[in-house]
Amino acid sequence: MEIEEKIDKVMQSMLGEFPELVRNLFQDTLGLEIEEIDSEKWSIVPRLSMKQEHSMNMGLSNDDWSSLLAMSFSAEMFNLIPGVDGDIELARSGLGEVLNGMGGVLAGNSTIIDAFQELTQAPPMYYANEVLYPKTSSIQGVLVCQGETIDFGWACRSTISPMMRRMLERNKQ
Amino acid sequence: MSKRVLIVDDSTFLAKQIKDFMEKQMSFEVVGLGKDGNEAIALYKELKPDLVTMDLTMPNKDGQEAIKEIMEEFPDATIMVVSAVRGSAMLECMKLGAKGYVEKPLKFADPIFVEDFKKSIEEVLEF
Repeated sequence: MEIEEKIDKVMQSMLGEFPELVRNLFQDTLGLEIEEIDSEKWSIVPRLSMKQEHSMNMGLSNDDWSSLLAMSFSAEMFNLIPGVDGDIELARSGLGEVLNGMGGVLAGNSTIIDAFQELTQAPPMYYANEVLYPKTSSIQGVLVCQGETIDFGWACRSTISPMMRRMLERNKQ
Repeated sequence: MSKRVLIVDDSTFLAKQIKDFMEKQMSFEVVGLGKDGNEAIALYKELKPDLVTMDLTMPNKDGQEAIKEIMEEFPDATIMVVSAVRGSAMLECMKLGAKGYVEKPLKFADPIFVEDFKKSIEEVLEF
């Protein structure tokens, strides 16, 4: 199976109950209501290199690309989080907690883990407070602020960068 | 006299949420905020709080190690773990002397959670 097909399989594995779990996570952690984007409107993430920046921005203690999900948050979203009162650092910290929780959700979802295992041939990290799967991520959560609501969906690269392909090939060996 | 609380969590957001809860819902005094296990130990020695809420996954020194060191020196310390880590870590912390365990996420928007959290804190303090 080609890598592109495997990534597609991972994408498919993230359908089902996962969006509901993510919705609950946002509700429970930040008190935010979010709505799922129609899958036909999912964005295509144009590049991979933003992950490290986002991980750091979200306050995760990752030294390298250790995020499966680097979520893209717009500045508008910061203002929607109850209790943050315009404090951007506080908002980032809260969103970091959501990402931490996401790691726990993923670690408990065998379908997603199996799909990633097939993609990367690397052992998953079953650790709730680390977001899953180092260095091989090609999937990105997308949150879109629209007025008072936040939509979310999963985006996937349509192509794989040479660097990522090398990482995937290396993990296979 | 209100209880004095030390909050240890590397998430500024969660620390603020817990602080607000302790002050507004419990009428406790939050006397310190720590961001890792090292700060937890130092602040405990300095402040001798009535209650510590302790996250587990933190940089530099994790919460489990901090609980161990605090309990070795202060066996009467009242520590409640507040963490997303589940499973054996929970049991290990209780073995080390933690008196309660509350799982994240902390659902402060949910009245049932708020009541449960209050009861858990009261139980820990009466332990």
